[in-house]
Amino acid sequence: MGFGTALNIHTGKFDLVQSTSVLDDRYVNVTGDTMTGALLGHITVDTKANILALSPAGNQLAYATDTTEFYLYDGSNWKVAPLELQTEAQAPDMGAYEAGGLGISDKAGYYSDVITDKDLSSVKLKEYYRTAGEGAVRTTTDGEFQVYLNGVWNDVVINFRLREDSDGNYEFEHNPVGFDLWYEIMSGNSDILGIDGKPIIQQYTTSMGAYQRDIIINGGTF
Amino acid sequence: MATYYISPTGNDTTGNGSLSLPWLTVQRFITSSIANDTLICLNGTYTFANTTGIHYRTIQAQTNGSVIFDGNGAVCAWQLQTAPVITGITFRNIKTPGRDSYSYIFGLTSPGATVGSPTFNNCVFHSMLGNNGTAKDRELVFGIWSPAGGSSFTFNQCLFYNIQGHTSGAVIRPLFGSNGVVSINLTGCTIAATVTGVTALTHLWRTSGLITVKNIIAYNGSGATLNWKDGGTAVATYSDFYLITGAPTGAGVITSNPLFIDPVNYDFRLRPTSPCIDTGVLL
Repeated sequence: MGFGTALNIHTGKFDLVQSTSVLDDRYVNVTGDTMTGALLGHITVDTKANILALSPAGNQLAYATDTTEFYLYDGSNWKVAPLELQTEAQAPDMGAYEAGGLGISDKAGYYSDVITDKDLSSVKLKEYYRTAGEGAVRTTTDGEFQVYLNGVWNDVVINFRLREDSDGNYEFEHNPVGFDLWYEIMSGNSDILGIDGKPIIQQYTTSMGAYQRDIIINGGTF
Repeated sequence: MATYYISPTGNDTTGNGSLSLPWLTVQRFITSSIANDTLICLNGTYTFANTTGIHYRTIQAQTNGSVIFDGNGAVCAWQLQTAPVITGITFRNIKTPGRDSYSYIFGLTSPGATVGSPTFNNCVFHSMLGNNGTAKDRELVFGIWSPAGGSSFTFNQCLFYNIQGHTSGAVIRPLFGSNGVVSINLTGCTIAATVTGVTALTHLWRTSGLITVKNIIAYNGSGATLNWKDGGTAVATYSDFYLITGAPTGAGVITSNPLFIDPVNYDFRLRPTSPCIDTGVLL
């Protein structure tokens, strides 16, 4: 039977624990044994590098002072809780929210319904499953990119450009989804010319063969 | 001290104010209760209606934030007399009264010797509609006209937003108005003046009394001048007055943008970079 002390992480105090057997040789018998080796607490507090250099005999909890993260050793590997701890001051926030129980400010900007003050990198925008609200965005299985404005989903059109032609003029062109060529919007003519110098697509139509018909200007009376 | 209950599905006639047979209205509670009795409003949405003689009572939500009194755009008011305590209730869509009525949504008009001294804790006031009557000093959200000595309004941890001032275009359109001495005390409150245009508030407080604030955020999002007060004196500590003309100074007072998450859409939680985080003072 042996006695020892253990740090109670709930009270922050040392408890006197009694065991019918010595738990391991790091516990000190209060009747006069000499402790050998380091006395490890329930929570190791050190730099990340020093923590990761440890190989505890059993499960071990640790806090990294430089990265403000919690680590847990599961017997084989150190695992890290992905969120950093934030410094909390004794003073409250100004305003109604913290004091009034309306919600405590999250210094990292993570709330149950809002993530704020963040950059997103290398993410995908997928389908939308909630009740739509103004400003919502989504992609659809039809390959559309949409934004919810004025009470409806609106397609965000893509594949448009202004291209400077050989005459120094700018043509407003688009590349329809599913097609390879760019078309001048007003005329429907492709920017690609055939061997005869005529657009190979005219007014969104084309002829078989290498030669295209003359450009037809529709409408009007001459 | 007895405790009574109302419920959105309660009944003032067949109910007896018990948890199993709640009443429907606050007025029914006032009529049937005595000083120091408590009313618990069971969670849900109620119709805000004219209620008189609210004094020496506690009116509280079953769960803070889960009890709503909705005026549905109508003109109506609560006469708040001596020492009522109102806790955890959201008030919305109420139109300020006309001159011949109770004159304030929350307050008293010419109460004689009756001291008006309500306390609001953890309440939300929003989407209040102005009126266009002739008594511009009295058709407001809060106030006491011709107050008795010792009158006061106290707000603890309350949120105010989207509140119209008098719609007549009066030069002074305050949130709180009085022609006498009424003390005003605010702690841990957020006041966001978000209405723009001719119905925007021009002042927050109109009183000859002492205005004492601590840990509050007063935010002017109206695009126009918003004055702290008209008359009276003010003591302020550990508070943020953003674009508030004539705001008081004091220990811990700042004038920075509080950086709400989305004030346009009434999300007044603080962004991580808000200067108001952890800069209040312990109470």
